[in-house]
Amino acid sequence: MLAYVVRRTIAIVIMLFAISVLTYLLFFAIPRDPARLTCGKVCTPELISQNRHALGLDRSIAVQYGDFLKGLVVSRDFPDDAELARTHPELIIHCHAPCLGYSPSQQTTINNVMGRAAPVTVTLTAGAFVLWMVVGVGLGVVSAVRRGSVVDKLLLGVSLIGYSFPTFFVGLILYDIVSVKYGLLPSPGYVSPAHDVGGWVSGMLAPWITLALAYTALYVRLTRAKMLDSMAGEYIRTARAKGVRAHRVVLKHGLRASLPPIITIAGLDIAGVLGATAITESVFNLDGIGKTVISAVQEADLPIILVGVLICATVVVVMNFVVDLLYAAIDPRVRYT
Amino acid sequence: MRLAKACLAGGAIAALVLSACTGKSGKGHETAGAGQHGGGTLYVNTSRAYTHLDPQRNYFGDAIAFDSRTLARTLTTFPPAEGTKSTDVVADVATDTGTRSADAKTWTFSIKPDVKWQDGKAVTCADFKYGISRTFATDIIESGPLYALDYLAVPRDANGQAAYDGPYKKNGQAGFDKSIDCPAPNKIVFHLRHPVADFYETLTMPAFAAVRQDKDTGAKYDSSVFSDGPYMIEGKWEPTRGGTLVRNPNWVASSDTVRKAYPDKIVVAFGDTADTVYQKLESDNGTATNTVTTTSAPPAAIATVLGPRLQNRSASVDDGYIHYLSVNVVKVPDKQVRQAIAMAVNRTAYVTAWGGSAVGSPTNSWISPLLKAYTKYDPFGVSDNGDPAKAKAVLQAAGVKLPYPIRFQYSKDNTQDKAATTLKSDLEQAGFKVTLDGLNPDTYYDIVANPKQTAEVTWARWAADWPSGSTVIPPLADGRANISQDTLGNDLAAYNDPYTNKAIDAALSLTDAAAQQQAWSALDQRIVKDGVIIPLMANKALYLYGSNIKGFLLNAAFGGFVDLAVVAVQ
Amino acid sequence: MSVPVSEVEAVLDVPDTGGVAVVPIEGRSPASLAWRRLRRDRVTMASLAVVILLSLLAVAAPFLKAFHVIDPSTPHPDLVQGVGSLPTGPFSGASTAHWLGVVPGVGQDVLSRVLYGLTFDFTIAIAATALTVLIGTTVGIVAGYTGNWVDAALSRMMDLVLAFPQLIMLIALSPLFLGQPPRNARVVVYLIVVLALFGWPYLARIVRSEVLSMRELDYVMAARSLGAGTGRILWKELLPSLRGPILVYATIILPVFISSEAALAYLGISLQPPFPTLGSVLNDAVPYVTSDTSYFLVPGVALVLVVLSFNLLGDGLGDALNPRSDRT
Repeated sequence: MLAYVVRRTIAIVIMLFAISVLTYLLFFAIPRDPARLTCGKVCTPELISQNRHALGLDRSIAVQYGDFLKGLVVSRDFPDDAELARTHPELIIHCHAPCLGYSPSQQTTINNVMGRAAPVTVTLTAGAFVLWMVVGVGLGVVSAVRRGSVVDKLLLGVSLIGYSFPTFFVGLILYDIVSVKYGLLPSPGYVSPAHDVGGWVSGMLAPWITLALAYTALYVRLTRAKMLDSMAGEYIRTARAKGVRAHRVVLKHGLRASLPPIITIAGLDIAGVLGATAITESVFNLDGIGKTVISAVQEADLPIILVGVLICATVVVVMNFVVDLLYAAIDPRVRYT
Repeated sequence: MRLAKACLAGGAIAALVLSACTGKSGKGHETAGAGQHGGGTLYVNTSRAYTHLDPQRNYFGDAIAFDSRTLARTLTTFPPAEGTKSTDVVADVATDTGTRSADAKTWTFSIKPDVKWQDGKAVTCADFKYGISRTFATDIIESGPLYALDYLAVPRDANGQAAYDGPYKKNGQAGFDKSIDCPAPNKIVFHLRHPVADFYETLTMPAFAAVRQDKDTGAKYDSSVFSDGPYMIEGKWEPTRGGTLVRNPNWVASSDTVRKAYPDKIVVAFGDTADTVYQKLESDNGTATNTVTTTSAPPAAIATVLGPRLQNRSASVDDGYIHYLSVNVVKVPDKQVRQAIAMAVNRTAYVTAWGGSAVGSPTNSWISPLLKAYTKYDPFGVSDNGDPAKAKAVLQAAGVKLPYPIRFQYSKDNTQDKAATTLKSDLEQAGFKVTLDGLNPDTYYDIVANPKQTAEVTWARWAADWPSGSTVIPPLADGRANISQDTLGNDLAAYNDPYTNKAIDAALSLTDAAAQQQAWSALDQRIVKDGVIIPLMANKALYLYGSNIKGFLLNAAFGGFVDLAVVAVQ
Repeated sequence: MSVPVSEVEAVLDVPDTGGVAVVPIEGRSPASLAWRRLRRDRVTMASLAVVILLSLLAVAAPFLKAFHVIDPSTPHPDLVQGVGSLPTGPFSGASTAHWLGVVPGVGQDVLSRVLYGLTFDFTIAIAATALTVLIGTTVGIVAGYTGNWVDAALSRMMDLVLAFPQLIMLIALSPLFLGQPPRNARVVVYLIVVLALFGWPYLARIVRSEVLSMRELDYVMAARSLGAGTGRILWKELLPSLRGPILVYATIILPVFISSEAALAYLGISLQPPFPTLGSVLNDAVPYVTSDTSYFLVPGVALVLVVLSFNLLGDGLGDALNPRSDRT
């Protein structure tokens, strides 16, 4: 097992490295000049090149990538100007390692930007995850157990309809109508749990429901399908033949057999939900990583887009890794691939 | 969005505060002092962020209105009064509106004794001098108005630019120091390069506010303004999110005849879409009762805002913004083609696309109807509906190949898309072939001001910086000041006409105010008849506010935005 | 959004690498068996009918426009003279000329815009799906059949592409490829290419699993020992078995592409006016939820209907093609 973990860890590191190189290459084909962002209506060419130099954007891609990697272990200064550091140290922004870069549009280090954004995204994703797993799997079990009944058909129908609404549409309705107009949901917004746990939960209710809706629908269907599969298995028939009670059969054997694949699939879906998370953040005006990247795209703030994409890709890779480990722990055959 | 980002300058013009309904005065039309009490928290919920809180970098109307009333006092300011009375400049930090020399090149002010910073120290001449000097550091303190560079008597370099790069680099500091004298800590003397008859109006801009040198943080000052006004920043201010203001304990109420500072706290939040802001205001739940906004009602909300239920919580004002099209004279050199474009345009349909008479009225002049320089005229003998048939005839007479291709650039959002669609339809009836280029609003002006990227026809919006034609024609039509190899500045039509330039110089040197405004009007007509500028709509802003708000006032001089000097929540 | 793993798992019966593929044992061909199962499922047949109808409408719309039966672009300001430029008349100004009313502010015909938007969305989605299927199937077969280092390399490439979340990349790459202003042709190509670019790896993985498990089956080994070339084996033995999962996947991913287009329109990445897309019409309509409810409902219902019918169809196809669904 240990050998497997080590092998996979090495593979992950290589993968992350490849992703970062690919991302840098991909984004440096952008014709838009991020240095232009630092000046407003009175942009002159001297101003732009001055600022470009200050941000280190006039160096080659390889050097910039090298700076980025170096910044992960050594702290950086923006602008990297020794002269200015001497005369006006208060104008220099200091970025502690691991330094992710500097954002021209927000005028602060990306560490600050992502540091503020990350808790919001984590809260949103984790909360939605809990919601869709509990409700989705729960309802899926009900649906499987009552296969063919009205309840089953209703659940399936409602799930399919729920899945067919685009996330932004659901979000806008929940925000403008349900929450603001009729007051049926608390006003959405992110409050740090350190300040106010109640506010943290209530402020995220509408966003959680929005994000979880489509996935709840999917997990109802998935759980039902997997449960049906496992309940049709030979050992279930044996258990039934032995006289084990129906709901025990369902829960103990059926659900237990279905849960591992469901959970591993859920792990992969967490990575896949990042796109919908970004949309939800946008609709509810929550300053998470997704919304930050979207704003950065509108402002053509390259450094943030880059880091945002890297963070998302890293999450995906890590979640895949976790899922792989879980699979390896469960199924010994996998360890030898 | 529209007013904040897309406008080229802050607005300060004469206007009428129109009641949204039939002119009856409801709760919303009390004048200051009628039933307001101190205390409570005021919420400002606005869609577009106030990009720069740094007074020298304030150039958008709502940021100027906000800063002036809370954090950054100026020597003179506009009073919180209704209608045109708001444009009668009053003293703020100064004891009066200044003494000028005969040639209007030297201005002297005295500073009141009890104007204090948030740490208790007095505001002095040196603070004003330092604040104004920051404008010259255009590499760090950028995006602000540049009047200081033009008006102050600072030595020029070979290119005619001011030979001073600001207090951070300090080259040319001696030259700058001579342009502003501090004979005593409470006396300030300005030496101007050329006569400026209304310099006391210029000084109302936050760009001429004081800044304490030891509290200056350069580019970071946007989120850490050190205040001399009735409020100060509490904790962290985030330029894209907002923040909280609390009372400045060292503000002396008796030194401030303008600001009443009723609320104890002001909480500012950015980021909701305009539709969401108005949904919240309509529902009047929770903090919405204490909320005001500087975002105008979006089209979908207009009917509800003007409806019977909300009419005593709504107000509207002609805010002085003029929507217009610039026809690039380099790309469309044929005058008849330009005139054909102007004749084809249906202004009524344009206004409809924006939301109808509640939010604007058609106009033919580049100068707002609220300015003294305004004249009503019909340049081409077509009504507000335009005349595509006549336009087509002119186009054919011009002898160009039809359909004549033009690109139309505008700042993209749902409403602008609709307005652009009507313009495209009008022009295509007249024999043009129109390609619509809806550009990202955040980078709109960068692109349209770039000579390599600008198109034949460009949309823009402008309001005068203060109530004079001299803040419309010269900034927008003087090619010498605007056009360089890399940028068109604010002159999106690339218009650089020698006759017009000379006429501008002549008008600026006039000392008779009435004659000056007439000169601007004549130039306006000349430019519009040349088909260079096609004015479309005079903008009206429509606002909703919470049911608990008292003393709500839209200040015409500050772009028609809510005046925080007199608003209360109790 | 990319296709959630949970959806594919729920609908498709994908064998894992160590598993045994199920081979039907009845006399009829798998295709006719599937068709029989499908025909019994009334809901799915209904959704198939809707999908066919929508496709016909989508194909017809450009012709209808050319013959002036529908007109998505022409503004009618005279029809929107209500306060705030709302349509004059109930149901968004519905009349014999405008069955579903007009757009507030500008007065364009809503029905025409929705139909024309349908065409755009269908075009994008079908092209992207076709491209996804092409790339995914090819890579999946090559990886699964060839094995050794080719498989390893292709699998790593799939992992690499799958690491980037599709919607985020659609947004993040837009400044790269769409200039300011984004030209319509570019937007169309961008959407199709990028959707397919981040959509193929998942299908490739599915195909690869299927191929891996089929490779060792008796009938394939028999064909090989009889001297059948790789091409023949691929064409005659493997591809027919792959048709099912590929078809189901295509039916699942197409509505995801349409939803992605709607999400992008919400973020402002869409066609220049006056060309409508379902997403941009919906995006414009949402704020009118209370002031012009009919205008809000029409594109919303249209979009949900399109996505729903494809999802129902995909679900039904999955059931029909899954031999195990006959068991209790």
